[in-house]
Amino acid sequence: MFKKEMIAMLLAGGQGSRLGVLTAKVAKPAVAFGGKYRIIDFPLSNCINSGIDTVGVLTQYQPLRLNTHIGIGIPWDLDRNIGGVSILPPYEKSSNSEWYTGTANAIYQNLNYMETYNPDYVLILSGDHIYKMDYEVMLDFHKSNNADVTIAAMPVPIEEASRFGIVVTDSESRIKEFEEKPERPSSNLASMGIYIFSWPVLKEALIRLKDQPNCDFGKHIIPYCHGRGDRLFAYEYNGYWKDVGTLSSYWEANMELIDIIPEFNLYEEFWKIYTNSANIPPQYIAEQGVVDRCIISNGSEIYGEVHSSVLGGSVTIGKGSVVRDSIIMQGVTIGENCVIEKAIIAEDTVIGNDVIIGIGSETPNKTKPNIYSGGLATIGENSVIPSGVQIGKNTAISGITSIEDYSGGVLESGETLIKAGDRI
Amino acid sequence: MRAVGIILAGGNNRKMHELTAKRAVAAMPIAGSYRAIDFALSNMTNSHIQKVAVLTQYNARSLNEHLNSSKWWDFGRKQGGLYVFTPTITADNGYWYRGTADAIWQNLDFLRKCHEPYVIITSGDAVYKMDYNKVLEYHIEKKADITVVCKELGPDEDATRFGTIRMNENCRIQEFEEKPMVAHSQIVSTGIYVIRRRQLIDLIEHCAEEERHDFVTDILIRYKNLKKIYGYKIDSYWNNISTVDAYYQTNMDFLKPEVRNYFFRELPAVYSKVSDQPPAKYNPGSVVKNSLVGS
Repeated sequence: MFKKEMIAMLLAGGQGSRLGVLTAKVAKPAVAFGGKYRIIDFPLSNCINSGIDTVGVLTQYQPLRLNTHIGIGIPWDLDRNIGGVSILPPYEKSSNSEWYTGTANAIYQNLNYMETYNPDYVLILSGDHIYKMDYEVMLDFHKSNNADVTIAAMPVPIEEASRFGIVVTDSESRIKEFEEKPERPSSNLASMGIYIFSWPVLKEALIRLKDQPNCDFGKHIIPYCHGRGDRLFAYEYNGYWKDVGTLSSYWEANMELIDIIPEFNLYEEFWKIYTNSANIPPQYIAEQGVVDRCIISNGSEIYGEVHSSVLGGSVTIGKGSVVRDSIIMQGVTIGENCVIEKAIIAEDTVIGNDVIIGIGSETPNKTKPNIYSGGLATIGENSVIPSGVQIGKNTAISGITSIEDYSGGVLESGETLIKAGDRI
Repeated sequence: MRAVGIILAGGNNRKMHELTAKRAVAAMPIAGSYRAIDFALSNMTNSHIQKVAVLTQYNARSLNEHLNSSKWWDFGRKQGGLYVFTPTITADNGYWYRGTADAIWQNLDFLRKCHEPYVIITSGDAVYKMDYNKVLEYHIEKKADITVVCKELGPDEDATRFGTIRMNENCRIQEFEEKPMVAHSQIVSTGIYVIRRRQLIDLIEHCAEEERHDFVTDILIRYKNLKKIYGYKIDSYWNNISTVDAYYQTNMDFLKPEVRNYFFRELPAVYSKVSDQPPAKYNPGSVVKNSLVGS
């Protein structure tokens, strides 16, 4: 029988709807980050760097990009004879076939997968955070406390604490209370959604709560374990950890990478982040090109100016164009004499010549003010922006747009322009 | 599969001076992101040649490190794979590779055990893209014994560091001079050959019996009136990097958009070992002009 001390279950099935058009066609963990990476690269790299070589990735929403990205796990050294990475989508059963209805329900539906490896501990991860963590240290903490469940938690500003699951601990880090998104938080220690369970405890809880609708770790499993008196501990983490669930936080986290010494440093030899990247060719900076305080990935061609931006691979910036404070993802082509400020432009979008993005005032978005905010212009993957148009702030565009879609050649701040159909 | 590949990557080269003090020419970095041998390896895999032997000898550490896994070029198959052969002492041989033919002779068992009818031989120090199947088809159509891929250099280019070739109107090679003092032709051999496997084994065995070791002088030149040796002319980009000047010029060629486009954006792609470096970062005050940056 196979034996793995600890296996990881990585929840990667969520849409991440607050990322708007960025997640229209891909799951949030597959969204590009930091030029050449995707969000899921961070937990996957953490796993292999922590010595965990068996990882189940639970997918559900738009899994194609994730599946092709992960493949058999070669970039993360997760192609193994025994273990390695396995993609775990929902599947049909002889009775009672269902989608994953909650985080814990998804894990419950894969009891057989976990059973195969006969683990002592199971690490539950989510695929939408940017951080570096040694799960092995967390496991040592779990063992030394003889814990049943260990929750990674970090201090957050008390005024933000009500957005998180909050743990209240005693002096030995044992959790006395667990509050999911409390109105009046009694502590500022927020759960990071990273759990280590001793396997028998997890298995028992999942089976016991199997009929709980939308069974969720934060809402059901943890309170259940706490309620029956299990030993729950909080593992305090004080490093960089960023939830990139909103467009503003996603944009900020990218922009932080271009600081001279960023808080989250990709340039350390220790604890490398691995990714599946087809972009091998060098990048080319032309005679008139300007690259100033930016990150640029392989295969890009810069004929214009790039300031304070993060560029993916195989991006082309045309002559005379200026890109500032923006995230430009892989394969985007920007024509000549464009001015692009504070924009997020997703994969393979084509932007014509003389396009100006980021004009006007910060009018809130008319349809989804909570999503398209922060003055950003967000353009979905495979979109086309015709030459000569101007685009305002807090806007969203997706699809193949033509000049007729822009009244007077302008998309005013706060407008949304979604066109159906794919580019051929 | 119709062919196996042999990449000759063992040569020392004094013309590269200090550049190759610590590495083989085939391991020289090209265009910021590649090693010279990536081009031959990618051509092999893109031509669906799945079984490839790399013959190395001189300063092979850097090259071996680059080839430590075959998966980057999509080898490592059950049928085929990437074989790296350095000289070994055997019951009947205690020499280093004494020449290109000797290098093949010392690994003749590899060829004997293959079942593929043809062999593609190339060097590891040239930058080019090629579908070897096209050459193979030509080879079969011409009923050739050996086909030599050749290229006409420009009138100002120095042909004397190559083998120069003259062909008749049927493209059969009539004259072949290896590194002549004065070149009578601007058509040079690229060091890419197609030959039937059985034919190659016979020629190499014969060579070894006569204590001859060099593929060009002892096979191509010596047999050119006996065997049907044809030239296959290419017009596409091809450059050998084995002098300091040629190495520099080849790298500088990648500053031309048409060259970058041909190698980087047109399919099939050129593969290389993935280095897992983060993207390039330009801090304030960076000034970069007309340059390639690899990461």
